[in-house]
Amino acid sequence: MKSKKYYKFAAVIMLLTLLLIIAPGAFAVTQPVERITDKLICPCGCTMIVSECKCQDAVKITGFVEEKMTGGATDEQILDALVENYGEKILAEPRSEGFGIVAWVTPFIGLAAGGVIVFLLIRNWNLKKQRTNEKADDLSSDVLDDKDDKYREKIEKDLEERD
Amino acid sequence: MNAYLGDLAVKIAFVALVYGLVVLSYGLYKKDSSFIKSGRRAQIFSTLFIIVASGILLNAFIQHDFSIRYVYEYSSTDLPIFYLISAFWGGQAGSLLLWLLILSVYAAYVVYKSHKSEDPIHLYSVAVTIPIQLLFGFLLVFYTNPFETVATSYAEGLGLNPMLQNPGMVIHPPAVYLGYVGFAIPFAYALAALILDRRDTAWISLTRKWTIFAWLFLTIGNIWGGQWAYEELGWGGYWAWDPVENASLLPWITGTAFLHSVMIQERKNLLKTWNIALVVITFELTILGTFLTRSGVLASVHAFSGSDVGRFFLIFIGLSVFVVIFLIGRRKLMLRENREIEALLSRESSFLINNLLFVALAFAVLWGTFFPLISEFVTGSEMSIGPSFFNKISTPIGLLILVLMGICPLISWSRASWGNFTRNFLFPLLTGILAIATALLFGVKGIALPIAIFASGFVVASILLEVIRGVRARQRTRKETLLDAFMNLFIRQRRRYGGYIIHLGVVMLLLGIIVHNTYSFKVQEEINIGESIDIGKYQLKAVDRVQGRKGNAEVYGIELELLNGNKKIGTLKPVKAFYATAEQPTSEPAIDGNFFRDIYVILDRYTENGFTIAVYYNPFVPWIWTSLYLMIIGTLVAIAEPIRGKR
Repeated sequence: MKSKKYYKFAAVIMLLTLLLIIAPGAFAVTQPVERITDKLICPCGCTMIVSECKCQDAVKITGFVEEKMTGGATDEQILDALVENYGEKILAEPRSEGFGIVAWVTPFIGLAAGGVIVFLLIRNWNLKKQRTNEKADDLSSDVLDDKDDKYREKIEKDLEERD
Repeated sequence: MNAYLGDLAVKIAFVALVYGLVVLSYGLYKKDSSFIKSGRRAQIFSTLFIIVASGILLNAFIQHDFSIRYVYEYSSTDLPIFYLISAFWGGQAGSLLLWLLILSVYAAYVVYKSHKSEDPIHLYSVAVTIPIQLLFGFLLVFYTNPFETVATSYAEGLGLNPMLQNPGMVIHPPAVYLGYVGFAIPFAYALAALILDRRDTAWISLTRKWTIFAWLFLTIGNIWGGQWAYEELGWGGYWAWDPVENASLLPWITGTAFLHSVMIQERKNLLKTWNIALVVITFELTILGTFLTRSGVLASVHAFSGSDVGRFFLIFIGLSVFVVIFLIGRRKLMLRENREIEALLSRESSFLINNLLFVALAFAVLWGTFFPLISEFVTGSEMSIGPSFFNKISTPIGLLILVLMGICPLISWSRASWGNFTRNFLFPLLTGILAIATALLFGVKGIALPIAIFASGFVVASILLEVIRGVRARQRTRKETLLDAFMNLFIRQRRRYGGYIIHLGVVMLLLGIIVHNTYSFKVQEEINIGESIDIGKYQLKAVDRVQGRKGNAEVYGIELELLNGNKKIGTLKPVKAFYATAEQPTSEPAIDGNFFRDIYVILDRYTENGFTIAVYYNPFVPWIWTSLYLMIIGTLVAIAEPIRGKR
């Protein structure tokens, strides 16, 4: 019965986590050039994305993206061309391939591992508590078994005296 | 003269701290009250000299004493007094002095407040703060002396960075420092408890206000920092997930986790090791943040350039973590949990999950911040981590925290029955569903926002339920009027209901962020006088050129009328500001805001023929700033002194 509750609880948490993992899809990009420049970090060292930086590098890259888009290049082709010129560093987030995957999965592995630890911790504490209670119950019932008659006699005697 | 006296004051303070550490440690070891007394006095004495040194530096700025290099490099004669004061922390040396000043005042306050106490934990905590003070004193004396003089006498200084000439920068850095440094005191008490092998929760009760105080100022510092970036940096946003910004967010996250987990130790005497670990992590993250700002290992627009002091912070982190691990290893018995969480469905469990989420969030931010270094180390080529990565990683965790914020108050301590839980759940759940249904009816888009709206409705309803129940209970048991019962609820149970007000602030903050992320858009167009552009349901009409002076800058820009239909609802004047002391002009945005949205305009370029402006439609950003005031009120309620009298 108890374990059912654990699994129900765990299932709710997992379902919520799953729902929330897909939540970031909410961020919408409307401008066509910005669809690409939002994905790029400005190489000038400002740490901002290209669409927000006002420096010459940002202007140059935006121009390049516009030109490629007009020429019919796909987003992926434009990004590939920029990576070739500037290196992986130009991308505002790592690609989901190679070592880039590590960047994406590590925080969630950390969260999942932490979740398992907390779950086990609570369950172990709870089981420990149950065992302690059961032990105490066993102990008290043993003692009562041994002394049961003696106590009963005494109670009856006391009650008789009161009457 | 200023330079000589200031330098002398810092050196005297440093020597007094060395003396204080030796004498206090010896006194505590030998239990010799005369040595202890001398150590305490040395702490106060050094604080006085740090105050004097800070006063001298401030005076040097006000007097335009350009014989001091720091004053020469960070101020000029045309700088208004307001910014002369903020120039104090505009550079490396001054900000280190500010760190030391705040820490010294905090430590002196601990010495003063505990002078009649017999409890040695106060003295040990003072002994722990001295090495931290010494770190900063050492850097000021040997590496970045704010009183270093220049060989040539200058009549004018180089001026303060125009970006720092904003009211937000006058308040934001001291607020962050008050928060950052504030966590040093709970850290010191935690270490003192470890050293003394104290098994009670004294260190937690003694530092509760310190922790809340530090947390409050870090909250103020972070939100005002965001507001400064929004109003000054001219990119239409408020949080760029820059390494230095993350550095001030990280201790806030773990500090929030700590504020929740100490409640379990106070009530159940559980999580002793975890609480010590959390406060240590929070403090170490403040030092890590100081390291990031000053080491240059990660590119940041907020970092101090050309600094080589970073390594000392790393050494300090290494040493202090070693000491903590050593002490935790030695104090196994003290930290042994002698009670257990009774049930999976209990407030304790929900707090544990809360801690898990906060720590996971901190880990994700830390991971993202350092990933460029890690990727370079592993693959040989650096990968960047931009805002989109942090948004994608933090949104799910943030939403889970929001949901949990609603669930927690509905679960009782020790053991909650499923029946009771589902009964409590019903009203908040229905409110959440009603909120999301209404939002979907109005065509709300995305996935994160509907979830946030549901969770916000759920949280607000669960808080409301708590308040209604509390009021009813008071009315029933104490025969109070509705108003009295309501007021007394907040007065008598300040901590709990103050916490709920803070939760409402957090709901407002997260809604502000998520609505902004979902619905903001940017329009960038050329515009000439007499022309209009559409911004959603609004229009911007260029009516005139702007030319003149603003503060100590020459400004040039455009005057725009904001129209809703044919009705004029505001005037915006985005300009380029030319400071005599800066090579490049800065873009000063113009903002027309109400409670639900900002129209944010930046002048990108201008020529004789026209202007290029970038207009951001930023919905709900004012909610982010307003949320701070709810959090401040909640914190003040929670931290207020108890009112004596009948309960």
